[in-house]
Amino acid sequence: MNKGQVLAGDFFLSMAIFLVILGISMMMFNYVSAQVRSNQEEDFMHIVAITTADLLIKTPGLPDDWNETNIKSLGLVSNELLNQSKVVRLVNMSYDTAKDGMKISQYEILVTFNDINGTVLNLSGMNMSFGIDPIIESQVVKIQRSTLIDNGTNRIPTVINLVLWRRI
Amino acid sequence: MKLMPKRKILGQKNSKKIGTSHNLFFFSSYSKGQVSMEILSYYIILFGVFLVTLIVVVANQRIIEEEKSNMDARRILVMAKNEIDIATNVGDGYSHAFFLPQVLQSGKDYNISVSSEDQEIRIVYNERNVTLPLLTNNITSAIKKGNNIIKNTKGLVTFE
Repeated sequence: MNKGQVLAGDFFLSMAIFLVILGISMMMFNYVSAQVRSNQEEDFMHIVAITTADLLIKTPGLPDDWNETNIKSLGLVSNELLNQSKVVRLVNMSYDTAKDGMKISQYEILVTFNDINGTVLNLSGMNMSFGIDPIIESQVVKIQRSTLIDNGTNRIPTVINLVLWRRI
Repeated sequence: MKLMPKRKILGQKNSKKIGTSHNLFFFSSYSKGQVSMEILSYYIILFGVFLVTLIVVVANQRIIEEEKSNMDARRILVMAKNEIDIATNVGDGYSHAFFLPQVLQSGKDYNISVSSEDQEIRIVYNERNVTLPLLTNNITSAIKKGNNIIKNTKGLVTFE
């Protein structure tokens, strides 16, 4: 090896080590920041899911007799119980309009009304399920609420499963 | 002892060798101009690496700042929403003071507003907006940055 080449060898070796360390640092930084972002997003999705469930089972909606054309806020309550006709209206509603009514434009949602055995309720000849099933590559938050649906004559014990999700 | 082949000195016949055999850079058989060019090229490479590093660090810094704003804006939104929902749930006679910061932690401005018409609370920052629904639409007066006193008077939620 010539004397002059020693410098070039040292120089490029040290630079290569530096670049490798820099590359590994950047990869670790990206991984950690992605994890943190994902956790933050999941925490916020939990809050949104709880808020949405509260909205559905604690408020009558806006206006009180809302329908697909005049809805501003979605709620299913009448006289402190879930109103069966509102539940059926929700299930028949267009997905985007209902999402706007629940103020969850940035997420996707699936709401199912089950009986206490876990079977999807069938009211007025329809399965009481609304929304889109989560795709495989998605971040998902699930919550459950127990309530009663009033159909005028009976009160049906119901478990609401709310799944909020977003594409990753 | 094996002798190293003698290097040709480029350029000039009587060019002066620089340094000694103990020279740190071992340039004893190069001309001054050649050494300068070599060092210059190393500096250019180093400068390039420095620039790339700088760009990567600045880009990451911007991501961190954006994420910080995002988290802080959501925290403020959830806090304000909880204040309104608690006032709604507790009922008549409720009163509580709370504080909303003037700017986000990143120093960026934001705007928070309550719409009784749409029964929602909204925060706007960095050209983004996040909305959460409220449990009541019976709200008058506007929420503001700084000190707020939220009251429930016979079901009507107000800010002072």
